[in-house]
Amino acid sequence: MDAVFIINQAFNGLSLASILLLAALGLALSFGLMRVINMAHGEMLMLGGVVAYLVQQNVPKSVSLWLALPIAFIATALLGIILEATIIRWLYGRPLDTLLATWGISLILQQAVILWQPFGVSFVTPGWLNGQISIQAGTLAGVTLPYVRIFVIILSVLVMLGLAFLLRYTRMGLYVRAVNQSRDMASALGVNTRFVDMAVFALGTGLAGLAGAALATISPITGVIGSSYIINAFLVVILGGVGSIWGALLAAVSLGFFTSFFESFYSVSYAKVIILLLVIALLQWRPKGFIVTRSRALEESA
Amino acid sequence: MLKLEKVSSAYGASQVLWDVDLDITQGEAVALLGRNGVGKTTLLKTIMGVQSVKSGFISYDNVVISKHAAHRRAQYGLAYVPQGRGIFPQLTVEENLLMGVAALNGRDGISEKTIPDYVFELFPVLKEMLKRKGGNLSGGQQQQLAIGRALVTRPKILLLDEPTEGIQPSIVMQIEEALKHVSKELGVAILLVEQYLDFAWSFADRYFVMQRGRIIDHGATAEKDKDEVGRFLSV
Repeated sequence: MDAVFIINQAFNGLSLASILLLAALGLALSFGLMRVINMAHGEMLMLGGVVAYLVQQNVPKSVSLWLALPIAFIATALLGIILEATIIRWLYGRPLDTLLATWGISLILQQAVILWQPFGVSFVTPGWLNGQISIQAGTLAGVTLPYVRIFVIILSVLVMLGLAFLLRYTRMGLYVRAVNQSRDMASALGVNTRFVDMAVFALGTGLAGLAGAALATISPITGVIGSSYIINAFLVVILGGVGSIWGALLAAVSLGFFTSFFESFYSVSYAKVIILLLVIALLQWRPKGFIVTRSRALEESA
Repeated sequence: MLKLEKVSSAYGASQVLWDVDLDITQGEAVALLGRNGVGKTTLLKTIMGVQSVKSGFISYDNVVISKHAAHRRAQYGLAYVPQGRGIFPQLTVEENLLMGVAALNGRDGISEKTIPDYVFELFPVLKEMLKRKGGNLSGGQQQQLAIGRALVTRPKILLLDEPTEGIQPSIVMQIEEALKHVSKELGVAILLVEQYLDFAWSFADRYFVMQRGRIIDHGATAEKDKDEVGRFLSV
């Protein structure tokens, strides 16, 4: 195992982690805040990719990526609002029912896209993203870092920082954190918790859509691509500690690295098995994930 | 100002409040008394709107608000200091206080959405602890924070659920002084759930006594012997 191999795999892991992180952030928000298990979250990612494709079909190639990302975000956020208002809102406080209902939505969306495009759709990466940083000589000869993967990593870092800023420094972020800690008290202080729920859910689905648009630059988008990401995204949420975005970051990066290295040593299936065994073992050791929110008041009430 | 007519409330199948009639006029201090488990906390929650009304009406300034969400009632001028204080443990003291500003949305005549200075004058300790996490404060400090936060909402009626329970005596004195100031100087109406009869009597203009989810006695504190009411409360 040489340095080149390690760098290449670490880079792949990081690029996988960045998509996972984008997908999981939304899930962490809506699960942490509303205890909604959104099985259709993966389909929001898939639809984000589909929207990116549709945008590209209708605008000049040179601007398609720059339009696809925000439009994918907005379109899936709007879909999130519709889902929340028509289905999810009636199921608050019943996590298992949200699981079933959103799973149904997930199947409907998958099949609809498969009927429309059985082989999936592809986003044509703009030319300037097609190259790669490739080291030809010296001890690191053979290291290749494709631009599009660098782009996705940067995108997800920016989104992560933006979200952290939003939660930490804005009035809306303060309300979200407060509702997360005590819903009744936040509403008794004048916070419209229904509105906060809807906004957070929409933000979450919008981020999944953004992840999908980013993913479209790397791989084709098929109707079932969501289901391959939803499990890992849930793993990130659970490993990170529910409701913690820094925990989600740590979990996404670890999961990305482990997946990338195991897949290069063994087959993809074995890698999955090993990872799941590791997750089970880890949860025995830290049942609440990497980052556990803890305080005097919480322990007193527990 | 605030009026409850035949208000009933239930947790699922078990009814907790039965036909409660209660009223509070502007600037008045009212004590709500009763043994543990008779429904005092539920009554406060029902008035605030975090517990729903099963039947009956709650009106505020002659508008029926029984179906209005808690956040709207907060905007009308109701503020709530719950049992256990309801501090957001992961928010700083400053952020906890700023949460009270949410209630000022849509309120007439309030332009500056900040923490008023008198909150810090009443509870100087809050000023020293602005950057500390709410969950790391002592019980007494949390209680002061909860009351201070309720005052940030510029309330017209303050609902207080056992504000001196489990708090060291020196801070109890401070809290009592602060409540007297809020009631007498700021003219905020107060509905106080209190086990400590002496304080309730020295503070309140009127009292209500609850037993098994009903109001069984009420009147002016000046016209009633404290010990007579005390008998309803002794175990």
